[in-house]
Amino acid sequence: MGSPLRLTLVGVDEPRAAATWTRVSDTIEDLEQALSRFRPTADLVTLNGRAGDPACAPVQAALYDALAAADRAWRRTAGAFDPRVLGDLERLGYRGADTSRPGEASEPGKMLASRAAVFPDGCWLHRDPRSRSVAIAAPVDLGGIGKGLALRWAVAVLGAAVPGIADGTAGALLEAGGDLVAHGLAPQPGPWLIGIESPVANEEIAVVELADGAVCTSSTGVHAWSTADGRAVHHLLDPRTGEPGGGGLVSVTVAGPDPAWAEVWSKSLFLEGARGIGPRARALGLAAWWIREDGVLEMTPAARVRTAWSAAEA
Amino acid sequence: MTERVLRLPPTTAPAPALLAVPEARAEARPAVATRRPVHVVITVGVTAGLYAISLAGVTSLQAGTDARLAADRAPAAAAVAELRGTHDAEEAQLTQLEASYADAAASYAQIAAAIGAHEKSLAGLGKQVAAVEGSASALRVPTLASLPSVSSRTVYVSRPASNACTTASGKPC
Repeated sequence: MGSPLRLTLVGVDEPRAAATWTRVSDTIEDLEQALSRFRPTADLVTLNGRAGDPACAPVQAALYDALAAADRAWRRTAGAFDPRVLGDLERLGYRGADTSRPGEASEPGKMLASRAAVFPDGCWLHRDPRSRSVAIAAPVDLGGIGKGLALRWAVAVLGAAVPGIADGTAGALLEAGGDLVAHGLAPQPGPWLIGIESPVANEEIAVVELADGAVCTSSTGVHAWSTADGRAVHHLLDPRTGEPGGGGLVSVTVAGPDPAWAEVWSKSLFLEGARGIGPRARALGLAAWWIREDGVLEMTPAARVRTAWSAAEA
Repeated sequence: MTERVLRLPPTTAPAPALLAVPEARAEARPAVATRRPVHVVITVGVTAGLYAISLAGVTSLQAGTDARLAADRAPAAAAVAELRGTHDAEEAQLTQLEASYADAAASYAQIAAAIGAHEKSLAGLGKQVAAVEGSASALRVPTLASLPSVSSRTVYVSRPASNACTTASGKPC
C-alpha cells in the first residue's frame, strides 16, 4: 500500500516493544502481499488479471475479507466509494506514489468500460463464503480501504501482544501514512492528540483528541498531477463521472472507531465537495473536519467536541 | 239513447197510375251519369305528383338542416360533456375534502380534549409547585454545599504538542 509505518507504544518495556513491532510489521507485510496492486506477485494483481471472468476462484483470506468490506462500502455509500475507479485512474495517468512526471493516458473507451463493468446481476463482486472464492467484474484498487483494514487487523495484533492496552496501563499509536489508530494510554494525561495539517498552509491548523479510535484523511495534497494535456487532476475520483471530485475542497478528515470505515467516509465525503459535505456529514453523524481551497477549516458538531485546539479559534 | 218508433197509419190513398215513358229518353240517361272528365283526372294526378315532389324536397331540406344543426351543436355537446365530467370530479373532490375536514375536526376535538386534560394537569402541578415553594421557603438553606468532583475537559489556549499528525492518505507529516 506504499505507506510508511510507525508505531508508538506507551507503558511497554523495550523487549516487548521490539517484539510487538516485529509482529505488527509482519502482519502489515502479509497484508501488503495480499492487497497491494503495486507488487506484481500480490494476490490482488493476480485477481485483477482474471477480472471479467464470472467463475469464482479461491483467494487468500485477507483479500477475500477486503473485497467483502469494499463491497459493503460500495453499497453503504451508494457507489460513492468504488474500488473499480482503477481504470479511470490509469486513464488519467495515475501511477501510484510516483506522480512527479505527467501521466500517459490510457485508452479512454477501454477504461470507462472497465469502470462501469458489472456482472449481469448488477454486482461487481461475486463471492462464495464457504470456499472463500471470488470473481470480480473489473480490476479493483484496494489502496485506501486496504490500508484502513490493515490498521484494523494490526490493532488486533497489538491488543494480543500488549494486554495493557485494553485495561489502560499501556497505549499504542499506529500510523500508516496519515491514517492512524490510537488505543489505551497516551504519553500525556488525557487522550491522544492528533494534529490536522492543512495542505494549503503546510502546518497544523487543528489538534483533535482521539481515544480508542482512528483518524483518516483524504486529501489532494498528495497524488495530484497534470495530465498529458496539462490538466491538473488528483486521485480522488468520483465513480459516477470518472473525473476528480470534491470541488472546493483540499482535505477531509474523519474520526471514528474503525480505520477502514473512517477511510471510506473521508473519501466519499470528499466527493460531496465544499457545498455538500456539511449536510452529508451531519446527516451521517460523523466527526469530520474539512479544509476548503481557501484554507478555511470547517467541522461537524461531532468533530467540534473532539477538537482540542483550532487555529481559527485560537 | 232510446229510439222511438213512430207507427204511421196505413195509407189509404189509391196507388198512382203508371206513366208511360218514351223509350228513347230512357236509353240515353245512364251514359251521361257515369262519364268522368279526363282533365280532372290529369289535374288530380299532376297535383298529387307536385305535392309528392314538394314533400320530398321539403323532407330533404329538413334533413340537411338537421344534419348541419347537429354538426354545429357537436362541439358544444362535447364541451358540455367535458364540463359535466369536470363537475363530477369536483364533486368527488369536494366529497373527499368534506371527509377530510370531518376527520380533521374529529382529530381536533380529540386534541382539544387532551389539551383540556393537560391544562387541568398543569393547574394541579401549579398548585403543587406553590405548595413546594411554601415549604422550601420555610427550610434553612446551607451556605456551602459540597459537590462531587467531576472530570473536566482540558482547554488549550495555544496549540498543544500533538502525538501524531494526519494530512493525506499516504503522506506522513
